[in-house]
This record gives sequence, C-alpha cells and structure tokens, in this order.
Amino acid sequence: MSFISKIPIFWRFQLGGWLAFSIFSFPTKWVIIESVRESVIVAVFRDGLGFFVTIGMREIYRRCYHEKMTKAALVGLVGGVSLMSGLILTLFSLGFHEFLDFKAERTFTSPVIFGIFYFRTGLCLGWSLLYFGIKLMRESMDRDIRLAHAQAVSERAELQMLRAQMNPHFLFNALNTIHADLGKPERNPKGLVQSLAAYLRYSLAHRDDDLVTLGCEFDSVSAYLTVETARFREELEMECAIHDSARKAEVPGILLQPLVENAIKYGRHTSELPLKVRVRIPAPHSGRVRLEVSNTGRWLEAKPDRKLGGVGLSNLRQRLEILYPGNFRMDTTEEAGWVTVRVEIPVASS
Amino acid sequence: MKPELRALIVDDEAPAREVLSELLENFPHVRVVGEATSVATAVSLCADLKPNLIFLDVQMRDGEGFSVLPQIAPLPSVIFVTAYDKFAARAFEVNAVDYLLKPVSQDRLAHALERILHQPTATKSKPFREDDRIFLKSDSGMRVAYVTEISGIEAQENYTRVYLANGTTEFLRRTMTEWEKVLPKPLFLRVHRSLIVNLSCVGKVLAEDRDTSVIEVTGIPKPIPLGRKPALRLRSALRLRNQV
Repeated sequence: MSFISKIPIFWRFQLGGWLAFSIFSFPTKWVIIESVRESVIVAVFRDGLGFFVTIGMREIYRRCYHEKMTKAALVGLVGGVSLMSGLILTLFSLGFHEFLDFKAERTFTSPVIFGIFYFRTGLCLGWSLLYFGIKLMRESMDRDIRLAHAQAVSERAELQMLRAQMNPHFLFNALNTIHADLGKPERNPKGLVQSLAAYLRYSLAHRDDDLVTLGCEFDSVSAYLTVETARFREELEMECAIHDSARKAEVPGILLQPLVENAIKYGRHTSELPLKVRVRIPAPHSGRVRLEVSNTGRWLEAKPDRKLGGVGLSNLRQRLEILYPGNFRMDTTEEAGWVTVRVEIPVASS
Repeated sequence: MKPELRALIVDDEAPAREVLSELLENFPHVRVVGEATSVATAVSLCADLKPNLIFLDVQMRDGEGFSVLPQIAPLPSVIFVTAYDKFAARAFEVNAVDYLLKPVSQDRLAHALERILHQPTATKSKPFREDDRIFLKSDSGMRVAYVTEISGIEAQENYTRVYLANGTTEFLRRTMTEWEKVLPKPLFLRVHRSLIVNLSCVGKVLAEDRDTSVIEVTGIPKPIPLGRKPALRLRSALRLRNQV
C-alpha cells in the first residue's frame, strides 16, 4: 500500500487504466481475431501504443493548457489532439498488421479502417476527459485546502486581536488602579483614565484594518505601558522612543502589543524589581523598519506544557510568515541582564 | 463583640493592596497585620504572623495565589481577590473561602467577612465542569486541583479519600453523595457504594473469575477488586465513552 501511494497519481491511473482496458477488451479481440496468440500480440501492441501515445498527449496538454484558457479553446485542443492521436494509432495498427500479415484482419475495407479510427479517437477523447477531470478536481481540492489554511490562520490572528482588545484582566486591573488612585491627586488618576481611553480607542477603532501607521500603534502601546506603570508603580519603568520618520510606515496592526505584553509578563517573572521595559523604533533604512522591545530579566524558553508558553510571540511570527514570507526577521537576544526581541519588516510608506 | 480577625493581604499590585487596606479600615474587628507582594513572601509571612484571614490575589508574578495554600498550616480563612476569573463562580466551593472581584465594593467585602464569622454555612455546590478547579480542604491544609486531575474517590466511613492522577491523596470531610452531585458526568462514575472513578484514568479491567474483576486506576496504588454488577456497570460506561 505504501509502495503504491509513492507512485504519482498520474502514473497510477495511466498504468492501472490501460491495464484494465486491455484486460476487459481482450475477449472482443479474441472473438474477432479467433486466435489467442495473435490477440495477445495485438493487445500488447495496440494498448501499449495507446499507453505511450497518451503519455505524448499529456506532454502536449501540459505545455498548451493554462488556467486562463477559454472553454472553446479547451474543447478545440482536446478535440484536435484526440483526432491526431486517433489517426496515429490507426496508421500504426494498419502498418503493424501489414508487417505481421495476420489472417483475420488482412482485408482492411474502408468501413473497418474507419471503425478502428473512430474507436481509437473516442478512446483518446475519453482519456482526455479523465485526465482533465482528475487534474481540475485535484487543483480545486488543493485550492480549497490552501483557502481553508489561510482562513484558519487569519481567524487565529483575529482571535489574538480580540484577546488583545478585550484582555479582561488588564481592563479590570486598570479600573481597580483608578479606583485606588481616585482622590489622590499625586497619583494622577485623570491621566490614567486618559491613557486607558487612548488604548481602548485604538483597539476598537482599528480592529478591522489590515494596516495601521506605526505611529498609531506606538502611541497605543505607550498608553498601555502608562496604565501598566500606574498598576505596578515603582516596580515598572518604561522608556518608549520612535524616530519621526518611522511614524508614517504602514504595518500590520497589533504588532508591538504582543511584544510589550510578553516583555511585562516574562519580565515580572524573571527580573529584579523595578522591571524596566524599553521600546525603540529607529528610522527606517532602505525600505525596512526595525522594532525593538527589551526588558530586564532572563529569556524563558517557551514550553509546550506551560500555560504561559509565549503564545503571543509564536502567533506574531506566524502572522509575519503569512504577510512577509521569507522577507522578515524576528530574533531574540539576551545580554547584560536584558532580553530584547527585534522584528524587522519591509514597509510601505503612506 | 466580634472576634478579632488578623488579616494578611497578598497582592503584587500596590494600588490593589491600598484599596483593600483602606476598605478594611471601616471594619474595626479586622486588623491588617501584613502585606505580601509574592507567593514566597506570603508563605513566610503566614509562618511569622499567623494571620487567621488572608486575602489572596489569584494571579501573582511568581505563580498562582492558590499555590500558597498547601504551604501554610494551620489554614486561615481564605478570601480570593481577582480582577477577572471566568471560573470564579463555580470554583467557589469550600466554606472557608469566598471570592471577591476587583474593584472590590464595601458591601461585598462586608458580606464576605460576615460569612467567615458564621461558618460553617451550608455549601450549595453547583456541579463542576471538566475544566474547573476545585479546592480540596483537609484537616492538614488546602490545595487546588483541576477536576480532571481527580482519578478516584473512595469512601472511608464519613470521610472520603481523594486520589489524584499524580499519585497524591487527600482525606476530606465530604460524603460520597456530595461528591456524586458535583462531579461532572459522564467523566465520573459511581461504580459502587464506596467508589467513584474518573473513566479516563481507568487502565485495565481484568476478570479474575465469573464474579470478580480487578481494575487498575492511574494514581491509585493498589488494584481495586469489583463484584459482578459494578464491573458490568463500569464496562458499559467505558464502552459508551469509547464510542463517542
């Protein structure tokens, strides 16, 4: 079974089909030719020839057929090729019978010759229909699989975005912090409300956009970090910087957010307090922009059995692989007590 | 005169600790004896200060608040405080425990403190779902486990012994009937009067002779002998489960 499944599907059908045809048409040949030996020779020759001629037809179809072909052109192509192949098969049959000097078919009257031609052309036509039928079916199946795959991936991204927007822990903890800071002007609860509003507005406004400006994304992340700083007070220090020329770059939304969430989550696990989080976006260089998010602490390798397992980063990598196949970089370094994740992608300027 | 409550607040966010201590100032019988910012400090402060009430944040920077519980004895009353927990409503289970949601309101806090004074109150348990967490409170302490981690429950007079899949056991003051009510079916089956098993933990069912079988269950050290009827019941439940 595994041996058969290694043979390409075309050759499975080609070999199996002609073998079956030869076996099932053998009794008819026998009745007409009236000799087992000669029937076998005729079957091997004719059907063997059919086997090779149809391989030639496949080569022609491979070269001529393309997806934009009109139906009429396809019908013309199949008709022409089948007629030609039918003719070749008939001529070879006649020559072969002359050569072997078989008794039964020595007298080739015009109706018999036409009959052979008619039948062989029909055979080639049938073969062509089967060929294109299987080819188109497989293509549409492949398309469906690709489509389903792309859809699944985009749904995952969407889910991730929803999670980022609605992260209930973040939201309720932010509200709790506001609750705590109210009536303490030195804590600046008004500023906190504004930051939370800025972050929420961005999340809600851009949820359907494929691309956002990097400036927008950066401001939202800054607002997010401001809220987190209020939550963790002296235990968290942030530093965000973006080069003005990078602000207009168009990037996929929710690009920085998972990096920053990750930095806080793992930073709080591994860093001495205060945890420091730094976001840096230098000027784009030769059509590419680099984002750097660093935190103090250690890099924790994502473990599949751990619930914390760095899902945010692997989701981001997956999205980038779809958006910029082979044309992005994402790497992590750890040095001098800092963990840095760098992402580099090509940018379109608006 | 209400008995004095000596409270420890465990939360890794300063504003959250502040809110709670401010709210607790309105309850003269509650005295905040300490604040902990991590699981580790919570455990050591419990040993030093011997609080009889702790407010425990579920998500901490060095782990889940639950993990404090098995490490402290004697167990104080516990009130969980969390910003958001979709399991909160159902996971709330044991008398000594309450759940508060942030931001905590004064009324809700008063209610929780009332409950502690009037324990034990009747447990009104809702059935668990398979992804729920459960509190296992024994005389020696408390731990939290996922419902699916329970591999079997055995009756021992008025107590029950809970076997977990990892091989540990807990001895609890709960009856088989109570367990049967809250454990999700069809995952759990009451095989006979004094045994409930988690079907996904049942390994082999071996027939010894016509009337007795022996089953092996993950986490339960000894094979368990079963009579004819219980064995039949178990076999048909397993068959049903494998068809799904």
